[in-house]
Amino acid sequence: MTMDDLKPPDKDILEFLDAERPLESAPAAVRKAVLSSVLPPTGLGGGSGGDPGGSAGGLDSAARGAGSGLLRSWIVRHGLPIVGAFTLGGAVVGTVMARYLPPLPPQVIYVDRVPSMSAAPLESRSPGAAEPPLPAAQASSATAPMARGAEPIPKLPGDLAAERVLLDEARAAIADGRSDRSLRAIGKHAEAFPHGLLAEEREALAIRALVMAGRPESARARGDRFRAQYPNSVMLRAVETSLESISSDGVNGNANALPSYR
Amino acid sequence: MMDSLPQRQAPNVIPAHEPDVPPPRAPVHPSSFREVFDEQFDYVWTALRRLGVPDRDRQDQAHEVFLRVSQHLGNYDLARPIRPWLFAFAARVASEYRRLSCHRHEVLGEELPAATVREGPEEDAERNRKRRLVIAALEHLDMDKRAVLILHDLDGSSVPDIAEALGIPEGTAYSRLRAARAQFTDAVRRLQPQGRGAP
Repeated sequence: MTMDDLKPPDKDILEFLDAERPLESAPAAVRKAVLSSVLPPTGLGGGSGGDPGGSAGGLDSAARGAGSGLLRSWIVRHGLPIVGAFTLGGAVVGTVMARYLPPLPPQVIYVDRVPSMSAAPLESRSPGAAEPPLPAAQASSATAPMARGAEPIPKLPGDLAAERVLLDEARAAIADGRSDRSLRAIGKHAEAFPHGLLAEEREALAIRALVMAGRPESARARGDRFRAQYPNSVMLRAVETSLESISSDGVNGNANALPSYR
Repeated sequence: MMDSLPQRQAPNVIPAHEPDVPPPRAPVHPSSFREVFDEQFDYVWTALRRLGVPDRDRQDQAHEVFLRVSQHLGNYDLARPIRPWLFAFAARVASEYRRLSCHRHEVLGEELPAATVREGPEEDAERNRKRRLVIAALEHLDMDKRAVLILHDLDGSSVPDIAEALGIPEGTAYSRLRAARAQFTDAVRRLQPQGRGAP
């Protein structure tokens, strides 16, 4: 069959097609958000790669976008053996030192006793009073005596509080089944706090949201980055569980119905 | 002794004993992803709408498309037109999106954003009416036919380029285009108010 065998559209149909033909201009904010989310701040080139006019910014962002696969293969081929050699060497040196060097004498630390931080047990406090949340380190040592000369535990910085707000919004959206809302909050966090203190938690939430949104490839790509960046993360197990829940028919379906990549 | 030393080959010379080795691909310029993104974002944005992705999820799906484009850009042959190649990613992403049951039965009653053509208010209203009708009519086509119709009759791509990008034989592309046009025409005529535009 050739084009000669095909009947062209009728004139009235062509008028409809002509009306739809011009492209729609995407909002600038959408462009920027998509670009910054496709090229995440992995620290390879610095910045968001969003510089519209600089060719160096374009090279940077494109190199990150197109080169993450090269970096991964370099790490596997060269980085892992180097890290393995250092680890083995450190183990050997440590063993030698433990065997042949004399042990250090025990150190005695003198501390002052301080009164208990709460005057009354928890149950006797007014039930309506809202307790401000304690940072984890302070909560675990609330009744322990403070060591002499220890720094006071710092208050939560403003940035951390702002990070927490965004990630709480993302988590609540996931609980509501709104992956789109969750991904938007996650995107805002990534833009405002690319290397924030809660970046690890953000990435784990992003993977859950992407699985929920039916975006298995994005979820897997992000999961690979998470494993590389946070190999000892306490959230790694939850991330793996999310990724394992991706069903095979969501991706591989009927190969004849979907276009292939060439 | 010199004869026993291995000979160094020029990097781009195909060894004589491997006549079937294809020539190396043209290298992809390192800034090409950003160029592709800047030049083709509107195209992908529009394509996703034509493929039935509602506005509220279009940003997420556009992200998904360009994420995959960035991962596969090394495989792109610069000699081929880029839009059919990009469209193939958009079609797959849209297809996966629509496969989720919660997205399957959307009624696209959204207000269409303005196209790039600016006319008077009456012409704008008429153009928007036609655009809405086109999108509604496209909903009556399955994804295979929808993709071919969009690429050919809206984007102006040739059937050979469409077949290459979608990974189908040319004959199949022609068949789908013929069937798509018939179904699209039928849908447009049915969706129009009575007495308008019917042959």
